[in-house]
Amino acid sequence: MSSRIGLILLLQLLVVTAVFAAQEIYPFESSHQADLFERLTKETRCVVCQNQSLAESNVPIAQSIKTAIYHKILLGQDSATIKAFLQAQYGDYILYTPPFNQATLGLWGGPLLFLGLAVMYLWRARGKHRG
Amino acid sequence: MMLRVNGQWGRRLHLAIILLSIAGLSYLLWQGLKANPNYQPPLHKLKALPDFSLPNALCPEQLITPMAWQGQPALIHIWASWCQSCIAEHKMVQQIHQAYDWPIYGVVYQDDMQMVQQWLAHQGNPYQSLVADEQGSLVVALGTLATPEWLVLDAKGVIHLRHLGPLTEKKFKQQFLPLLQHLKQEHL
Repeated sequence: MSSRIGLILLLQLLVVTAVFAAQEIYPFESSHQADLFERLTKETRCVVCQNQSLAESNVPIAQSIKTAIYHKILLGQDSATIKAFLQAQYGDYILYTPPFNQATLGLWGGPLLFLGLAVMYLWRARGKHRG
Repeated sequence: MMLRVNGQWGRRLHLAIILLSIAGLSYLLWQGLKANPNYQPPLHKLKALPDFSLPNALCPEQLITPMAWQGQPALIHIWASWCQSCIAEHKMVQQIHQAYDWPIYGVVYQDDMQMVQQWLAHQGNPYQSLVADEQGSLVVALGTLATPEWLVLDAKGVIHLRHLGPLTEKKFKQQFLPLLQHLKQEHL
């Protein structure tokens, strides 16, 4: 029992140190800036490891992109400006939410189209059943 | 929907629509399996050099700006001493430097400059100038993904070609040389 409590305490310690480490690398002047940084790095993809966000990734290029985001936030740039910069450098790929444009028409429109078709199909089937 | 088809033909039409949908979806998913999930940067998109002012890797008091890279078509080599394939291609970079007149500008990424200086002192320095990008600000501004990466610049500092990964002699002769010569002709 006491060993279990010890383990839990140890794990808590690990969590606390991890949070401290994250704060020390990118010290911000306000919590607003820190929130923006956290949000941006979670909404962007690591460009060389597609299943990780920038926040999760530690490869050199992800660190450098995070540093670039950090400096831009300190300069007072807003979320849209920073995202536009990242998009210009690394394409839509870096955004976890792809923008709506000609290339992504099928991506965004497809589900709606199928939903519409399904509703129409059900509507007809119901009509027939009644008739 | 718009047209009402009843009876046997109606059922066949339904079946056909369903089968076609399944076939279409399967095709899309099959293509998805074979698609490359990695980001592939555009290799031929023209792009001006970003603005920067970074220390010279061999003499850190001196700052290098994009002005230093202009005047004639040139190569940019983005590398690091911790990057195995960069180290492996160093001999080839030396050969290119000795065999041709094109300036090679280096960008050392996230590196210990003492290591870089030692390495070049031992192995020879093919770089006309070498920028130390310790934080990776230039690398991000260039849109580089990983080391090594090669860029071909025109005389005005516009990037014409991007090559990811180690450069081979064949690739250099087939793609880089003709482009450099073409860019020189254009500039004259």
